[in-house]
Amino acid sequence: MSNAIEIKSLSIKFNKKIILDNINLQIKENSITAIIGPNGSGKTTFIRAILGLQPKYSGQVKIFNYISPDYPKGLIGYLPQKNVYNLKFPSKVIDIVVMGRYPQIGFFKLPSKNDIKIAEKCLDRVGILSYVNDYFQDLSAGLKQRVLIARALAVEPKLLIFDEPSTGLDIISQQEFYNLLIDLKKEGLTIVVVTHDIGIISKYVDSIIGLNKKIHFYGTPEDSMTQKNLENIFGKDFSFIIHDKNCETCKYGNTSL
Amino acid sequence: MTKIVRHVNMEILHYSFIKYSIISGIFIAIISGVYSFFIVMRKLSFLSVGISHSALAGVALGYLLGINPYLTTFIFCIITGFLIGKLTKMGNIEYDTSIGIFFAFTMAVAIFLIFFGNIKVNIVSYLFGSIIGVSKFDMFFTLSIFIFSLLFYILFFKELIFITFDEEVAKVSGINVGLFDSIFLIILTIIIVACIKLVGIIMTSAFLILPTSFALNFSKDYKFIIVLNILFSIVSFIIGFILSFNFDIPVGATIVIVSTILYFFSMVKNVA
Ligand SMILES: Nc1ncnc2c1ncn2[C@@H]1O[C@H](COP(=O)(O)OP(=O)(O)OP(=O)(O)O)[C@@H](O)[C@H]1O
Ligand SMILES: [Mg+2]
Repeated sequence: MSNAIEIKSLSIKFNKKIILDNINLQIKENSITAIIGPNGSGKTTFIRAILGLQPKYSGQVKIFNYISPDYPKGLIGYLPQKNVYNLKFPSKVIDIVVMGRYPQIGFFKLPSKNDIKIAEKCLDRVGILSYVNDYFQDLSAGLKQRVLIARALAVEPKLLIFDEPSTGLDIISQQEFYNLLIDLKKEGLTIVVVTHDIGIISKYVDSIIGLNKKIHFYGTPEDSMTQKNLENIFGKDFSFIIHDKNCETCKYGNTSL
Repeated sequence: MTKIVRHVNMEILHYSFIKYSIISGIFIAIISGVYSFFIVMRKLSFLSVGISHSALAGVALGYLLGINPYLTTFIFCIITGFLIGKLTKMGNIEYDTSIGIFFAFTMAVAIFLIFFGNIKVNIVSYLFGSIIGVSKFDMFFTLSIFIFSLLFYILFFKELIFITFDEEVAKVSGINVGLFDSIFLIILTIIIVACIKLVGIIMTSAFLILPTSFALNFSKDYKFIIVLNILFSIVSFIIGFILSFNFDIPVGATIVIVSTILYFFSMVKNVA
């Protein structure tokens, strides 16, 4: 299998402060990879570099052998971390999801019937087709998040990048979301997901990257989710609870830690 | 104020001028209605205030150099717009802060130029608008602004909407957001300069902010909002123009009062 993402000695500084320090990494095609790390550890910066959104960096980033930021349109579907978009934007849900089709539609053209059909299909996949004609600004935070996930799917990309997708999703939706990722992988997609859902991702992902300025570990969930590894990036106070069916925290619907 | 009123009265006698004024006014109303949506949604209302006020220094500069003040105003406004953007990035401050800095600074420059240049110009007509003094040339100038901005809007409607909603993902979709922003800033400035003719430096921002504020009370769908914006702008312009005509009151102020009253009426629904 070839590589979807190849990164060579990637470093990023903000105002002389090193945020990412000499990252070398390859992500296999048709896999699910989770990136974990504490707040401010550089996860968003890292994926923005992959997306070609980070103007100043040193090193090389390649996706499917295209060098950043010269990617063909529609290669990547992206869900940004919450609150970077306009929450009160007056639009119907369907028109937001159709935005995902813009790379395929191109300039000077309007969405076709087929684009709308694809958008509706994606709304269905995230379980909110019934909201298709509702107004985006009226939706709850979790439903908004699902609309934006649908928009990323509507691109029909080869690579999907999610930055904290489960923010605002209830526990059932969270599990549905990770199951959706598995379905998408079966369809041939490569998926990278930044997340704090450390407690549940092991079941769903192929590999986990522990990022805190550097890559501290990268491997299968079994190899990487060790107490020592997690202490390494989250600090000494970290304690990792293996959730069993009697877990108190899980009863209250919080599985992330 | 009586001076402006007399000024208006005199001009009304030239009948063909009124035709030009009405046509230009409608062009400006349509285009500011369209762009009002993007200005309000991208939270650039205060930027439009900052840019329009820097126009005064542009006007003074034009008189000082002896060239068409609208040309110097345009250039001065564009530079101010870009500098506000730069200062925001480099000074690590919020937009409203750097606008506040430039607002005062450009005003000071204007007063400085007027004082030292010993300029004897009817600044009042720039501050409060003088649509009655529209010439045939002005009308064609407005028409070209109208065509250019409208064409840009029609051709790139999709992309403008995308950028306004979600800049980051728009970039990932292959839209050159930086280029769009620059063109947008230029169009914003052109519209502001055109609006200055209509309602004057001080009231221009009302023309760019009120239409969307009004329409947001009636719709949650951008497609419909933009149509409502255009209707709102045209209606306030025409009512304001007719009223100012019949009661001998300054046009710019009348239009702004009419549109503000319309806006407050649109709120009644929400209050109830
Ligand atoms: N534009 C910027 N200018 C200066 N510093 C920045 C900028 N963007 C991010 N940083 C800094 O880079 C570091 C990494 O930020 P980043 O957003 O990548 O963290 P993260 O791992 O995504 O955190 P979180 O879990 O909170 O989302 C932080 O210290 C942040 O302050
Ligand atoms: Mg982040």
